[in-house]
Amino acid sequence: MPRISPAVARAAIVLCILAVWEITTHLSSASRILIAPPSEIFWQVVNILATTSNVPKFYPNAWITIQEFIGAFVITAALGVALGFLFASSKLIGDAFEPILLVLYAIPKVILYPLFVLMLGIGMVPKIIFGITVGIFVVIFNTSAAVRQIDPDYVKLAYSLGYGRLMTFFKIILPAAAPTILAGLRLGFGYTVIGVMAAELLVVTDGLGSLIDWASFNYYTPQLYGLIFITLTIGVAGNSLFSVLERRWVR
Amino acid sequence: MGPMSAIAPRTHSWAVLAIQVAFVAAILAMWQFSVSLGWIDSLFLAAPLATARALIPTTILAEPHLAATFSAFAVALVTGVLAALVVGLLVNTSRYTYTVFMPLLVLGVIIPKVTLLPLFVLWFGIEKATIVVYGALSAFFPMVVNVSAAGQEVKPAQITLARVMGYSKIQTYRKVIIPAMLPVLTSGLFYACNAALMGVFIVELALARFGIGAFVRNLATTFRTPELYAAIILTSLITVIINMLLWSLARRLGRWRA
Amino acid sequence: MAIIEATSIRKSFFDAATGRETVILDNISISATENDFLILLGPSGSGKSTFLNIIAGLTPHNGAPGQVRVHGQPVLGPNPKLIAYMFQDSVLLPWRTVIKNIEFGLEAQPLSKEQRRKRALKYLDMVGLRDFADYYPRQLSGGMAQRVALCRALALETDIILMDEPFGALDEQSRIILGDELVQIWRKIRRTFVFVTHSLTEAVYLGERIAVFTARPGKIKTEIKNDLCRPRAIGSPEFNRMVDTLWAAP
Repeated sequence: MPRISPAVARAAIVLCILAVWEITTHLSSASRILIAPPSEIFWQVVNILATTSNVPKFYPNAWITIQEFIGAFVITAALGVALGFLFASSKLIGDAFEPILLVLYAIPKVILYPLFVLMLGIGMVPKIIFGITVGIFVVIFNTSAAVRQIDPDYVKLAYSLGYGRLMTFFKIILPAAAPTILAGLRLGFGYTVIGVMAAELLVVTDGLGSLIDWASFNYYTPQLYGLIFITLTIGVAGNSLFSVLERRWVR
Repeated sequence: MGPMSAIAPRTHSWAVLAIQVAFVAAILAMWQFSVSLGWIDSLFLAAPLATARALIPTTILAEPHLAATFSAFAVALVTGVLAALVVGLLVNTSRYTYTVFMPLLVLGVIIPKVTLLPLFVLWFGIEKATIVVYGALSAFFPMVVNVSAAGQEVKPAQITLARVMGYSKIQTYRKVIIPAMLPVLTSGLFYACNAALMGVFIVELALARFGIGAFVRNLATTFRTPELYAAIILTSLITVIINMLLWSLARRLGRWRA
Repeated sequence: MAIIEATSIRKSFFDAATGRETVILDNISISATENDFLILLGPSGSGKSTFLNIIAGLTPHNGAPGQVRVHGQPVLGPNPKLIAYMFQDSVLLPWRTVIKNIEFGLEAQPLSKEQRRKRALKYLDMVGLRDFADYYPRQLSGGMAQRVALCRALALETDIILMDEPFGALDEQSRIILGDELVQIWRKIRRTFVFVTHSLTEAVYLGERIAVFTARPGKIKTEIKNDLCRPRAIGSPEFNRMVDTLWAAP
């Protein structure tokens, strides 16, 4: 039975699903408001990217959203990794903050969003801050776990060879912790994206979320599918980028 | 450290406690002062005292909404988890099916499903259906990935062992397969619960008329800030308790692992 | 009377795609008596483990005219009342403590809870691991884990215990120590042991009878009775002579 490679099998499954989708959309009497066939969605995507569709200001809005993704992620990564190192290096601080972090992690951040808007207004800032709050915990947890798992013998060896603190950090701690930290960053990116997108859809101002809302409000269904597809692709692309980085590092 | 790691032995518990108390106290103090001193308009940032006073009235107001939310959450979670169990077990029928389907399922986890929300509204409307379907879908993907992974925890040698001992298929399931899968399943349940909760909240916040999300949104848009804070604290408390229960369950069931 | 009787056993795989038949075992005939310590010795790929699985009822053989009988009855499937099995890897259930792992084998039998515990403790004593009853498998060394696996097999109180290279994954020293313990237990409980190994030393050290397998296809080259006195001294002249005999067997 296993004569077809898994990748080919997966592609076949996806193609089957698309084919069924296409055929049933054309055949059934389901309203074109509810569902669009993949072929139409494909052309919409092409049009949107070529700005020949009726989607208003696609690239400016897309750029806003991408900036929010990047901004939120960069801060999440920097702050998360830094805090992760802090909590791992001092047992006292780590122990003290562990329950605090667990409680903060358990709070459904979504429920805080109206508060953010109230305090920070609308625009990019609350969305970025929200993305950070959603993504930072995974990064902190993974980073501190990565650092804590490092064999202390390696650090002792480095010191005994005369390595200074900085050299030990770059030559021993960082490479050893990198894979887990990268995994945390990958998950963190995913959560940050979810946070930013949720923010864009909850309080609609600008960005891809606003375009999606516009399409939804006006029942421009093919455009809606197309925009969603583009947004999902950006999210998945970012994730894949990290997967590749992770695999390259683990080597 | 991490949500699933064991709490480190408190060799210096007094110092730890001191830091925690100091941290919380500092936050509360900053909070109180920034409002009292007028750094931030109390319209946007309610004082801790005002919030505390609003706790009980808000809780009473929130009751019907809490009921609506948690009933939706329960249905969504059960549906998502059951579907995940079925699909996950199917995916595990062979090593081949696992290799083929797992990346697709992982893709389902990675996709920011919140982007699909307008589609769901289109199909199911602004009602309970959307909330439950979205919540179920949010719970489904993390759970199915975990169920599939859990299936890989069972070693073929253990199944052979059960055969040699004369166990029937059902007994093998009960005594070997399910215990082996339990830690990963419980961990999956933890993530599925959180995902379902988040999903339900998001939909309620965005569109619904009833439910905690809607309640919070109303408080925010009518600038009833102390009540808003109180509602957030209330919801967070309930969620944290659910998380703690699940997490301690997951830890207890995973004790035998290295 | 033979307790295990295998005659003309043939085992092959037929690959439908290539139309080729791969013969794993060719015309194996061997028997074991009560209180025997039979060694199945041979290189990798000689089918000795497959043959053990056939006796255990885990794998079917090609059928007539070959037959395997235990206590005169044909083997149709695993029979935990007659045959206990030890794997090369201890295969302890990681979520159960040592004593619960031993009881695992007994839970399919009509025994009460107290009877199970009593039996498990009795055999734990025999392998000297009473103090580790409440340990989890991950806390045990390789040798200890195999002792627990042996204990689990013994606790079934079957007439026959089959062992598939149980010490293969252990270091040399553990192998010798456990081999000693195994022989002591064998002499004490008087049951039939069938032991698979590729080590000549182990075969001569442990076995009463040694069946030498050849590879591809698996055939029994020869059967040798090992009547060296116990305790046997590895490296002694008689020991080496026996090893040479096995080496040079026609």
